[in-house]
Amino acid sequence: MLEIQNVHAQAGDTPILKGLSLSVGAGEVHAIMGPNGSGKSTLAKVLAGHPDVEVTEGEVLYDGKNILELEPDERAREGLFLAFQYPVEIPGVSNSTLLREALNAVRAHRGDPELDAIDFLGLVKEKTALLDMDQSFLSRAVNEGFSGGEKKRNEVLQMQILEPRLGVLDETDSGLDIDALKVVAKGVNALRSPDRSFVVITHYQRLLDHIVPDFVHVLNEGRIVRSGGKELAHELEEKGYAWLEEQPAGA
Amino acid sequence: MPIATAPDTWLQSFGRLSEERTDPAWLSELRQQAMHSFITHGLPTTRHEDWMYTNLQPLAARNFQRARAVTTPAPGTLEGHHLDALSGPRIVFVNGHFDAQLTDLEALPEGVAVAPLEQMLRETPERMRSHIERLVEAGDHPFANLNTAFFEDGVVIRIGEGIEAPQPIQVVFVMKSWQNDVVEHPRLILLAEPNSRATVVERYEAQGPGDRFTNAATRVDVRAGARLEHIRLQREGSSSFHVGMTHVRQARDSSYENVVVSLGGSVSRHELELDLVEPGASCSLGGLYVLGGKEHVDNHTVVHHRVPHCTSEELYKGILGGRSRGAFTGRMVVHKDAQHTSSSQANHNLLLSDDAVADTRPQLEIYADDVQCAHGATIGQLDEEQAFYLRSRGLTPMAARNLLIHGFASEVLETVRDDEVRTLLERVLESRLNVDVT
Repeated sequence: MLEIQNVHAQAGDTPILKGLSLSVGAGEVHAIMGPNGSGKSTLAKVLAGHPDVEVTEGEVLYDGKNILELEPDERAREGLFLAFQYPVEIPGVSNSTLLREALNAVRAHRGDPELDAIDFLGLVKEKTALLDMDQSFLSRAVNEGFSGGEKKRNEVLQMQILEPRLGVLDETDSGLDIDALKVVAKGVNALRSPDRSFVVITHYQRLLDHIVPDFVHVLNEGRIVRSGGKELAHELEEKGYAWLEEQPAGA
Repeated sequence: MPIATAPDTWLQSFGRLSEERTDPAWLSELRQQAMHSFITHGLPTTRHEDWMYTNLQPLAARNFQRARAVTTPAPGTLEGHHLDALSGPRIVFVNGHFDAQLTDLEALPEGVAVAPLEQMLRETPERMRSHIERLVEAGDHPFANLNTAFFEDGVVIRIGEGIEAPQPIQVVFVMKSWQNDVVEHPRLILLAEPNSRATVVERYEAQGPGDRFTNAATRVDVRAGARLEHIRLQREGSSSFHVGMTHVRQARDSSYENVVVSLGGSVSRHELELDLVEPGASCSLGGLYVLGGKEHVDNHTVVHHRVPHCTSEELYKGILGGRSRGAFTGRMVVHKDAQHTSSSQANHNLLLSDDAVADTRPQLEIYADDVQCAHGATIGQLDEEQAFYLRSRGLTPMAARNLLIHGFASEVLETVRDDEVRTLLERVLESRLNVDVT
């Protein structure tokens, strides 16, 4: 479903990804772990098409199409979803407005009719209940004044409503207490299906106790230096990332 | 040197008007004085402090003719103006003249009177006198003089004591012509008697091509304990000239909520002047201007806190695209005796292009010592992180931009209490954004 091939990317003049390759099959959950500054968030930005990151080499094939040629909104309508590490506050725009506009944009692209107000409300009610969110949140401005936990829940709610085929979670666990973490994981797990894949970017192993990955990759200095099963995450938890310094990248 | 104003054209036009009308003697005299003063003083240049952002030269260069009443279009031909968006009573003027066919006052509640000024002047001229004279008392103002000299019709609205009008009352001025350079000078008188409650929507629209000039003057009295919501929507189009003056006097414990929405024009200027003359009065002033192309809007507001224990809140927001220019001047005058005044003022501008210009000028004059006053102004652009966030959810660049602009504007529109009116304003904002504000 997703083929990242030898991607080099830079932010400004600073090279960050230096030949990253990764293959994600349909229905798989891949965890990307690594120390701070290894390029984890840059990878998320590359996938979503953030204007601050420039890809200088390589391809990202999504269902065989090079998505690097698509605008961020085209990627979203094609079924790619990025759960932001730092969700943006948008004063004056309510959550329900954003959800409705986004859902209708995605549905129109799929050839589905717009949801009417009643069906939309029914859908949102169901999803907010799943994530233990209060209805009043719908009339609040997008992420404005939200706690860290509320912001992350909101990201997962949007993902629940938009039903992407590829979900990219950028440090969704950061700033969450254990209860919020469980709720967020529940929201993600409920979406797992044979034709939906996830790339879960995280610094810590604890999220992976709740969203159990099929594969774990270690990112260091812009490249994947080790890959394995879920047990690799535990190993990292025990040993930390210091060992990366002791062996040459790519080993 | 003031700007000369094609005096011959105005004087000829004035002469014809005087022949056509049968005004009471006091009004004829008032008009003569006003005309004389207008011709003598001409129009101010941008060196005049109150006019530094607005060049009146293009307006002065025109030979404006009085707009004539036209045969009423068949009902429904004013579509696109959302006249039906508000279900309450409405009074409509076409080219400044009362239009009985488009007017619908059936829903007018008991205790609320709405009538064309022309009719009131014929039937009860003496009762109108003090209201008419008030505008001149406010000072020697070129456009007030022009309005006094030339006004032919307008509206008188009186909300009776203790009356609560459940639906907004709509006053619509539509300029409709196939010729260039026509002018209307509507005069409006709004009286909110003690302890009354109402929403009044004052609208300026235009239909068909042609450059027009609207020169409107509105006098508002909010008496003790009354609560008046007053919305002003101006959208005659990018080639129009518009000058509006709104003078408000507030009595004890009254509340006045004003929102001015200006959707552009070649030159569009609105002056809002409030006098808080008895304790306990409070006002909230909202403004939203949305411009594109080479449009120009100038908002000028003055609030006089003359007595203790009054509050004023003001928030004006500008959305400026193309090569447009939006100016805001907000004067707050806290007079010597106005202790315990609480006042806030803010003006925020969103520039959508590199060539748009925002001018903002807060002016606080405080002569009392126990007051709370705050003000602030900003000029910025759309936030790229916010736009990216919306696009990452599937919104096209245009949809993301419009949603962000809407979000920016909503802080002002949210202050509108009446649901129908707020929805109407959101609709006209949306259609404005979809046309040419880039």
